Amino acid sequence: MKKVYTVLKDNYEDAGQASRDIKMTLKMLEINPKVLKRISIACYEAEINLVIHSNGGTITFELDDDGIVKLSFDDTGPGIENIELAMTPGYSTASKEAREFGFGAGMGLDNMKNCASTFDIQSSKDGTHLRMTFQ
Amino acid sequence: MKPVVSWLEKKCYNCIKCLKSCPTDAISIVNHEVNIDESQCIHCDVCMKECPSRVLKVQGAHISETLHEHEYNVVLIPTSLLSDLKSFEEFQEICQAILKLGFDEVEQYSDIEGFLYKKAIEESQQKEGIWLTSFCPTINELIEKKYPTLFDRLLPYDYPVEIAAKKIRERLKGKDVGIYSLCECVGKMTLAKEPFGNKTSHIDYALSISHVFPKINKLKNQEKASIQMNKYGVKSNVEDLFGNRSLSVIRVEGLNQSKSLLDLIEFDRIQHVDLVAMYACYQGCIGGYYLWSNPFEGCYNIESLIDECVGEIACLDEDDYFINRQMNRQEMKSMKERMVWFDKVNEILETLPQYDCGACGFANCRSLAQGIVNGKVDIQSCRVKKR
Ligand SMILES: Nc1ncnc2c1ncn2[C@@H]1O[C@H](COP(=O)(O)OP(=O)(O)O)[C@@H](O)[C@H]1O
Ligand code: SF4
Ligand code: SF4
Ligand SMILES: [Mg+2]
Repeated sequence: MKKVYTVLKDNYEDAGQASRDIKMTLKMLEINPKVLKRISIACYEAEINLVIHSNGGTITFELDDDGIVKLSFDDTGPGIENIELAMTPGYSTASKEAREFGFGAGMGLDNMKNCASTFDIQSSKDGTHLRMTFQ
Repeated sequence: MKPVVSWLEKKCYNCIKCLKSCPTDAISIVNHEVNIDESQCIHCDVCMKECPSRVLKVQGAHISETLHEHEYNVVLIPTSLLSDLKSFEEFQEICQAILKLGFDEVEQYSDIEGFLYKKAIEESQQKEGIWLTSFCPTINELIEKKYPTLFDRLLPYDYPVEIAAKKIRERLKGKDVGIYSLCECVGKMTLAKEPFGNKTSHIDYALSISHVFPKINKLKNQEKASIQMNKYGVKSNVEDLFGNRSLSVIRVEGLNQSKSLLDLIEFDRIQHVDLVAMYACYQGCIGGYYLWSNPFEGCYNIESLIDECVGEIACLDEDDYFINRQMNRQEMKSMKERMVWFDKVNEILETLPQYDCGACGFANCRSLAQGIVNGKVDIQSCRVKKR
């Protein structure tokens, strides 16, 4: 099963909609709640990053016959200059606006890494590509 | 467990108000018959309130038929009952009248509620993460059925009324005791053995307050029961009074608000809160369906009575209140089979108008599509498509 969602830059109003839909789909499929908890948190964090840090992009949700969930986040820039630094808990370049919406604690990437079974991130100024799997 | 909300077909005119209002899409109407799916129902009372012909009801025990079944009978009264009364004396008179229905003892459990209320606040501050109180059976069912990822965040405390019943059994060991729970809401009714077949409970019979109210009213006079209430227990029943703004405790009432909050907690978006007290009813337990007055005034009544609630708080051991809740999950098919089912549902859904009108007897087009895939109905049920 595969579903693709488009995420727009700075669209705070709809931020989280893709994660909500993915969560709902997985609930209808009665996936293990413990795994779903990790998926929900990681997916939401990554979706918000697309809204507040990137120029926008897509989220691809895939589920295979064994129940393994794969989430891919692909945006069109501006990229992360120093991934290691970005991964540090507490590090954030979030704008004042994003902080006003309650985002930008700098814990997102670290959180995602802890939630996911596999975590891979590639970035250049043309875009950031993040893949996570859950089982 | 046996079905809790039952439908008396006589005066039902298939208006579909019940199925449109159900928060969990548990209701469907097939061949003019209203069905409630017990595996989805959270016993919230919404459909009962919405039904214009009042044909959705919960059957309780009938004391005239059951009192003789045991040598000695004890009735547990809900704390929220206080909210219907103007003075503490009147409350004691009501309790005496309840006793006169034929019981040997009338017992309260606000002392246990008080203990658990304090325990919940204390424990949630000590332990990491956000905790959810576990006192509203309807909220617990909502979490189990719709937010299973948060099931392990429910505080592992048994229901106060259940603990009270267990304590009575211990105290009256060797006696043939029948324990009745007088209930202010549908959720609490579901805990008892009779008439719902909830085997593991210490409560034998469920009675709704409104069912016995006319009889109590007749028996009421100046005589008072010597019953005392604990003020923390009373507080824990009222949404407005739970917690304190200086603590990281929040109170949420109503199913819609609770759902929004649970959604946020699932995304880990609630960061500065240790404890959430959720109630399905407006203003908490004092908004229970079977209380005869209203929670608007009830809140005022309770506040003015609280100083007279001078009963002591209970002192419980972990053995008394701890419960290891298990999620009630059915035998599951493989993920592959579930995906095949889900794809079929979506395929059918694509062909439906997706107005979610409910005229077919299902809460929305997705529920109809599921009903079709599960072989309950065929696609001809859709009234809009037919035209
Ligand atoms: N998709 C992205 N595009 C560009 N920069 C990103 C992206 N995701 C994360 N970052 C950078 O990594 C930093 C840390 O991200 P994160 O851990 O989620 O914290 P936060 O979002 O709270 O700032 C961000 O502040 C941002 O500089
Ligand atoms: S609300 Fe439901 S049970 Fe009541 S009359 Fe309408 S269809 Fe019948
Ligand atoms: S009691 Fe509540 S959950 Fe159950 S069928 Fe009625 S509205 Fe739905
Ligand atoms: Mg982030």
